[in-house]
Order: sequence, then structure tokens, then C-alpha cells
Amino acid sequence: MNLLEIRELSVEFPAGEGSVKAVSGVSFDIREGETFGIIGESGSGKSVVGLALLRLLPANARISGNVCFVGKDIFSLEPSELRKIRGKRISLMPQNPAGALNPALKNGLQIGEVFER
Amino acid sequence: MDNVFADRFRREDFLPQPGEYGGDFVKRVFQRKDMLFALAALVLFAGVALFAPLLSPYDPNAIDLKNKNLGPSEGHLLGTDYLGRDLLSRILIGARISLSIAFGVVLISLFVGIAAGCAAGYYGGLVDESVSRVIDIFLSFPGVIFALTIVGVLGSGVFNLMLALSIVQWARYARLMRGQVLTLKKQEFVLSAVTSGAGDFHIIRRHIVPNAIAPLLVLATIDLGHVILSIATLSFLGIGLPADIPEWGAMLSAGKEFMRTAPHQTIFPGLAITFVVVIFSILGDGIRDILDPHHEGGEMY
Repeated sequence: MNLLEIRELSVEFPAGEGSVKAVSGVSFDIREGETFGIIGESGSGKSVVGLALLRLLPANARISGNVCFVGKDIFSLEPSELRKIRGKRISLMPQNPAGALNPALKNGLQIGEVFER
Repeated sequence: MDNVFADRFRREDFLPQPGEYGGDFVKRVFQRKDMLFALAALVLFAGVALFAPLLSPYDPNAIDLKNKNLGPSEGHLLGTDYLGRDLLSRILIGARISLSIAFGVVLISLFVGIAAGCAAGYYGGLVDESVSRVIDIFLSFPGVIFALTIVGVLGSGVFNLMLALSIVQWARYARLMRGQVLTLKKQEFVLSAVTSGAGDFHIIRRHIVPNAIAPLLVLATIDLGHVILSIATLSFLGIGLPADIPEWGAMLSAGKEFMRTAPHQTIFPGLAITFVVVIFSILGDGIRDILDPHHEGGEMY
């Protein structure tokens, strides 16, 4: 069974009068236990695909297509359901990992936080 | 340990042990000499305010027209005002009212401002638009006129005055907080908190407020002095506190008429206000330095 199914995923950002296509018609499946990599030039939309999977794109992004995670449609999930998937089932490691730590809190606290949930 | 003062207090259980929550903050306060002095002076003022009825040599409202407008002397250490009331006693008793109004107003506006600013900055969209417009409305009035209207409607009194000044002040905190939240929201650590499944309230409490609080605390310390002066303004306009309540601002404006013949009536309450304002500015500066996340460490990469 496929863990993650992505069908015809397209992302557009409105820019000026027209819009910028960041991702157009991406489809792929990831099976359980599989390691899957996406390689491409900078600006080719790798990160946008990753952000779209967790619905982390800014509100002005126009997204079309389907993303199914273990049979659930990610784009139609309730926010509370989505929060159960974020971090637990699908994690995202952003670029610039140094910025991922809050400068006002102690590091140990923030690393421990991940395991509490 | 590296600080004698902190160690002594820690032994007597006044301070949290190192490693306890906030222990680091307290330790760094004690490492700064200027904050230590300001803190000691603040404790002194608070103590005076608390024990004022025991300390003051005269009844602050006892009118003695035979001895009015006296300069500082042995009988009246700081002299008397235009009704012959002892200035020292009035300043001591007045510390209680001035400080409690100032603290009350700043705390209320700090809390309301943080809540409104967080809501506006974090949620954006319609919430932001409506909260921001309300902030604009409150900021578009001159503060004194607004406070005048509110006190006029509610009637005078310590609590009503506090309420009126808070209603005037909170919008500035909210606007500052909103701006802070807007920049913090785009930081990587907020994104990573969202990715790891954190809820809105958790992110605001844990990640946004601790990073945004420093400039608000500085504004709060400046405001403490500002509020005392606002009370003086309102007293001057005749809608501050009732005449029998001694208050620094009111004393200042009452003494103004006798500035040429008896300047001590304005100098001493003015000095009291100045001391409190300076104490809070020093504390505010120190708190900002300590809480500023970019203060030490700098760029790691």
C-alpha cells in the first residue's frame, strides 16, 4: 500500500497581474519503508512540494491536485487532525537549521519538547 | 558562583537555586551593579509606601493655616504647602497612591496590549484589520482629552482614574506587540514549531511572547513615569483625584502657583517623581539587556 500519494499537484503564487507557477502537475507515490528523494535546481519547486504536503504554504498560494496520506486527503483535513500528523507522522526539516531554535528558550527545553508530543 | 550578593540571598532562600526556572535571570540582575542599586531604591520606595502611615510625622491632611508655605525647617523637614500641610507626610503617603496607580495602569495596559497585539499579529486577516482599526481609533485621540472624557463619565476616584489611563495607554502596547509578532511569525523557529504540530496558543505563549516582550517592558518602564505625570495633568485640569488624597502629581500642580515664593512645594514632589522614573528607566534598560536574545552569543554560523 502506498503511504503517500500525490496526484497532479500544482502550486501557483499570484505575482503582479499574472501568477508564478512554482509546481505544475507533480505526481508520485511513496511506499512504506521506502526512501524517496527529489533532486533539482534551485527554484525548481522541491521545497514548495514539501511545504504543500503539510499545508504550510502562505495563504495566497493557489494549490490544486490531491495529496493522500494513508488514505486521508491532507487538503480537506480539520486543523486539529492536521496537527496530529505534523511532526508525528510527517516531519519537515527546514533549511537553515540554526534558525529553528528559539533564541529566548534554552536548547534542552526545545529538544525535549519534540519528544513530549 | 560568581556573585557574592546573589550567593548570600540564595543561601537564605530568597532566590531560586541555579537551574530553577528564572534563576539565570535573577543571577544576571545581581551581576549588574546599576540594577542592584535601582532595585534596592525601589524596595526602599515600596517599603516607604507600605509603612507610610507609621513613618509620616504629621497627618497629611491636617490643615494649619498659621504655618502655610513654610520652607524646610526642623519642625517640617520638607516644609509645608499652601494650606500648611506637612510636605514630607504628604509625599510619603502619596507614594502609595502614585505607585499603585502607575503600576496598575501599566500592568493592565501591558496585559491588554499583549493580548490584542498577539491576536492581531498572529491571526492576521479580519482579526488584524478589526483590532488594528480599534487601535487606530484609540491612538487618534489626544490621550488627555480621552482620559478627561472617561473620568468625566465615570466620576473621579483612584480606580476610575486607573481605568481611564489604561484605556488611553493600552493601544500603544498593542501596536508595538503587533509589529513584533509580525516579524517573529516569519522566523524559522515558529515554522518548525508548526511543523512539529504545535497549536496556536502554545506557539504564542512559548515562542512569540518571550521573544517579543523586551521592547514592551522598556516601554512599560518609561510609561510608569509618564502615568504619574498624566495624573498630574488631570489633577491640574481639576478632574484628577479628590483634594484630600495626597498624590505627587496633584501636589506638583498645586505648588505651581507658589513657585516664586515657595519653590520647595514643586521641587520635592518633583524629585520624588524623578527618582521613581529614573529607577524604572535603569531597571528597564537592564531588563532589556538581559532578555534580549541576541545580546550574547551573536552569530553562530
